[in-house]
Amino acid sequence: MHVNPYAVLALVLVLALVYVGGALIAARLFGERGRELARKHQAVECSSTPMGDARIQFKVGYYLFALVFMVFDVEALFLFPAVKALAEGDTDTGILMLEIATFVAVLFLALIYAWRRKVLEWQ
Amino acid sequence: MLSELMAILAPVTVLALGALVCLGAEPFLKDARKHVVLPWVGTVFAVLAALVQFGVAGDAVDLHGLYAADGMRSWLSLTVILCAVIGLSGLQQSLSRDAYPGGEPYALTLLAACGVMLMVAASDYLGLFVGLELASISIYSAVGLRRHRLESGEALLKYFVMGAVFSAVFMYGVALSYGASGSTAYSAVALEGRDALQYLGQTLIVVALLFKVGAVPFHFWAPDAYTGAPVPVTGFMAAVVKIGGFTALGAIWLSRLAVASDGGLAGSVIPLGAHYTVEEMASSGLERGHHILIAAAILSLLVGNFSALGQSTLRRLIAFSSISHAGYMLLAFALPGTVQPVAMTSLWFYLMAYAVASAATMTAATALCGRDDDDRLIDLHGAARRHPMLGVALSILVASMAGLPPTAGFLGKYLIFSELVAKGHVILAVLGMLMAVVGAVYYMRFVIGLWSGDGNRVPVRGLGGLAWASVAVAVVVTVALLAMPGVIIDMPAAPIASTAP
Repeated sequence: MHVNPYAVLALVLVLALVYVGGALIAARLFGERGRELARKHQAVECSSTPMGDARIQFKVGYYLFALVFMVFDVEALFLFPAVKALAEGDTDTGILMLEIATFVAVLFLALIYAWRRKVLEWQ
Repeated sequence: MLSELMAILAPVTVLALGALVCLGAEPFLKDARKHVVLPWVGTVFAVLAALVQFGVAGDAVDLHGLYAADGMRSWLSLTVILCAVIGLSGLQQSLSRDAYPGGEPYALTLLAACGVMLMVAASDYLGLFVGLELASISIYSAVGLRRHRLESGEALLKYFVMGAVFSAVFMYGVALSYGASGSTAYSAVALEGRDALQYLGQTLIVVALLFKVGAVPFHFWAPDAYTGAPVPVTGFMAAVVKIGGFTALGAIWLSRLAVASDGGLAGSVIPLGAHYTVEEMASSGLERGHHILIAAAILSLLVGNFSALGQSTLRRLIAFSSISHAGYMLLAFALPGTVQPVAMTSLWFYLMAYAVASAATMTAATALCGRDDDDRLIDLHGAARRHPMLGVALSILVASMAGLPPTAGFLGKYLIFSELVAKGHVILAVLGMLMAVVGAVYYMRFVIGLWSGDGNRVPVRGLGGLAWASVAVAVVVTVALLAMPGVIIDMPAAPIASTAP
């Protein structure tokens, strides 16, 4: 039987609406309403009483560390295809090593820059 | 293969290397030394890049259909490099005056220039996107340099958020266009029965590029972003963003024309200096694009010119005038009423003349502005009388932007208007000329203000050596382009032997 693939998508969409909408309506119809308690509006904190406000100011230093971390994250990610090409042996090894060295050197420059601008010192 | 790689990417690589050297050396220099050493380092690499660009300019080649090199592209790249040097020297003036604690802006300028050079070389939407983002992200950060100023933060946030949205619009257009044609090349043709999808995708791409060049109705970011940026950055971004955006628009338009004139050209790389004759304009679907672009042109001319009349600071004046220049350049996209060859040569010429003049105007004006680039026009009164040489240079550059002879800007406007008449759009040409008169009013008011009055309110410092040299080169180029326009206009348009699969 030939079915238009978009018809399946539409069916899934309808099912999703029925499922979620049905659950909400059923809860409203059959659900038991208790008294309004202040505890009901508390944040769920593994059944212990939450302390302080959830909206705190985040130290901007974390972002700098995250950015420096990204340098090495991306580096590792991009080295994988190079290693794969090296293992399969259908690329010129010398040129490949040169490319990897250039790539790492450019990223290393970013680390030196961050180092000298005292990004790595916790303030 | 290696020669194509060299011809297309070598100048960009040299410039990128310059940016890396600037960035790597920056933390090792004392704050005061940064503004002495780094602009010169950047300039040396830019000059090297220009020499390499001259050296590799030759036959038209392309790199897997992603990037291409031809005569016109290499002139546009040279213009970008010149604008980068002008921007560097202007930044040196501005940042050293205010003792700015950092040398990163110089690296950002070079990186932005690299991005724009990739945009110029692109012949494929993905290649274009790489350049577009490199240029945009560098320029966002350059716009927000003065972090302690309120309007600087406003400019940065507005430009960044809107720019990110329109980058997404661009990518969505590319995705739709790819879905319609199965290719991301400029000259891709829609598959059977997918013309509507192709049209939708290309409309989104054009809308995103119209945003980048600041054409009405996508111009709302421009006045605020231009006002918040340091004065030299305003000139630099007005110049290079226009080059990048309009080269992309022009190359895409030329590719559509090529495909409409000869179906065999589908998927091949189109040299920018070429001209094509479309026999059956009605069935090509190009007229819909024509209507969009011309409507944007007329709106840009009206909004840009009349808004500029009422401005009281230099950067806002330049912002609205850059919107009006986008209008003039969009007029070059008009299609002829009869069957005749269509080329984009007038656009390329106008683009080069405008870019050099706008970047150099702002670099020269930096010397006249107060601390934190205070640029109220009333404070600039009489500034030229104390620095006559600077006044003469500024007058020539502003005259070029206004389109007065004897400057390249005049010839740019003349080429666009005479082409419009030849294409049969006399009313558009008359509108353009009337708007040029309105433009001349606010440009001349600025120049007359410079030479009259005594306004001693701002202590004027002269230009440094590098800024003098770059402004002088810009003035010479502005006059020389009028004297020898044939170098660019009469360029032979050799077809690119496509190596695309």
